[in-house]
Amino acid sequence: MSRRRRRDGLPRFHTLRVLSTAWRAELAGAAEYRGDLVIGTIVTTIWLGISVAPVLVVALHTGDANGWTLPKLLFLQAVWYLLDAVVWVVLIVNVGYWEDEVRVGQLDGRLLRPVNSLALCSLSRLHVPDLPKVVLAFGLGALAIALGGGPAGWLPSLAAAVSIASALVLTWALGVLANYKVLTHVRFDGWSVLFAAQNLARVPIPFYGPFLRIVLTVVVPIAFLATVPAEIFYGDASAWLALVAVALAVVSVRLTAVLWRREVGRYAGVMG
Amino acid sequence: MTDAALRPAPAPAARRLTQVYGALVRTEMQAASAYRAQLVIGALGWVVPVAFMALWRGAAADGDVDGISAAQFTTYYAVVLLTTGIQISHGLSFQVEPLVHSGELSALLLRPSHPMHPLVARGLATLSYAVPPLLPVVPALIWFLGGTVTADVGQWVLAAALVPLGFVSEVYLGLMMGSLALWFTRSAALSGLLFGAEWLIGGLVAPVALLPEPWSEIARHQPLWFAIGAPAEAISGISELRPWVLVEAAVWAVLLHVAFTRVWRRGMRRHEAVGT
Repeated sequence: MSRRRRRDGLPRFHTLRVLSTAWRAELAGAAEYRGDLVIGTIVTTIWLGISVAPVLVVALHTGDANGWTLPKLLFLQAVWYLLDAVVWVVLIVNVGYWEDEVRVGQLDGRLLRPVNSLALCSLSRLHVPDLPKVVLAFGLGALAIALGGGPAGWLPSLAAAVSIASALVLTWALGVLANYKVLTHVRFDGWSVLFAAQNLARVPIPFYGPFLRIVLTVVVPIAFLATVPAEIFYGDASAWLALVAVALAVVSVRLTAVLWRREVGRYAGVMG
Repeated sequence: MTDAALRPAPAPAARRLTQVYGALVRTEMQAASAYRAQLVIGALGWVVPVAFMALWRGAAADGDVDGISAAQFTTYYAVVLLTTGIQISHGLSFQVEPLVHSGELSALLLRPSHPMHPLVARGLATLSYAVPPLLPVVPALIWFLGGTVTADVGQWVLAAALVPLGFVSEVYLGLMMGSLALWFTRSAALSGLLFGAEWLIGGLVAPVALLPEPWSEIARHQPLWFAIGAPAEAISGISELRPWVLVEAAVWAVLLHVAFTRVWRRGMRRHEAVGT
């Protein structure tokens, strides 16, 4: 019996299979550089400490900052660190090479492959030395839960998990959207946009005051990166907000795909 | 007439260095001006101090945090916005690795000046665009967010004098972290730790006065604090600096110069000059 095929003639889940093969190759390759993995793990652990330091210092001097207790702040940091893993494990090592790939013509070859070009160009490589970030993020999340105060129930937990998954997708989309113009511009570096959004997300959005809170929730949905998942988990926000998070993720993926296709259409090949 | 007589007399070292820097900074400014849009995007780097300002203002909303008011936190982080905005050490710590891998360092070594001068000049050129927007933004932030500043003129003078001394120390630290590329294939992860140190003991995540003892006291005697947190603490009135802090900062700058010279010399012995 023949495998079911899509309209473009490729087997179903072809892109997913290509990606999983690429990831296996990355993991196998990284195993040959254990030294990099060890240094990466040490540096990642140090950075986790640095990232958590502000909330620890806040907790040291205040019992409850604006309603944000230590466990809640730690949970927010855990979500934030998971987003950071997306940036360093996936985005930097894929999107970060686009400029060079355009210059030397390597991107031309990748665009010709019979696979979803956006997925291939933005997801196929993994920076394995930063993978421990994922484990550390889960560890920090577990510590936050162990310190008490949450979760607020099974529905909030499920909704928080959904909103965290949406936040990961949103981060990926933001990384691509901030940098896709590099295909047609000689020199373009949109990382500052992503890092700005990411750094704004490391602090609970209500701390920015009423005006910026609205801006960072409604206009630029940075609140949905870390604050909303933490608020849902601890029952400070309605679980139904997770649906808004999913909608945002879907819209961001659609927008990214449309803009990517348009940019690839304008792409003139090797820019020398 | 001999060849030696025809050759122009060599300029004194200091004048020659000034000439070299003048030319390098001019070139880099021209290159940077071609990408002004990028420099505007670079202003988004301001969000880190602003985010921590929000965190600490929030923490102090119900009352002072260890004697530091929300107004002082506002001023502190507004000044930190400036002191972090003028640092070029991040670029320096990450720019050496690609030079080593591409083999470009070998070409730079053939020049009659130190190969790090072009990197420093590039950083200085970037400042000509990055700093002017901060000059009105910092007082505006303090004004609109209700920050308070010290009335002690002496503290302002000390803060202003500390900034260049701290800057020089940061440059040497950045160069030393960048020099790790001469030893390690992938040094970027280690070089990035300079950021982390700046965050913790430079006073970015919190004024070092809030760190638990003895870290608070230790942090007050190292160059990252002189470069970032100390001027902000003086102007916001969080702490009162003594004049000897300038001597200490100057000694650090000299020590780091000597340390960098040695590190570089050792690194050069290991440098294979073939790239990777």
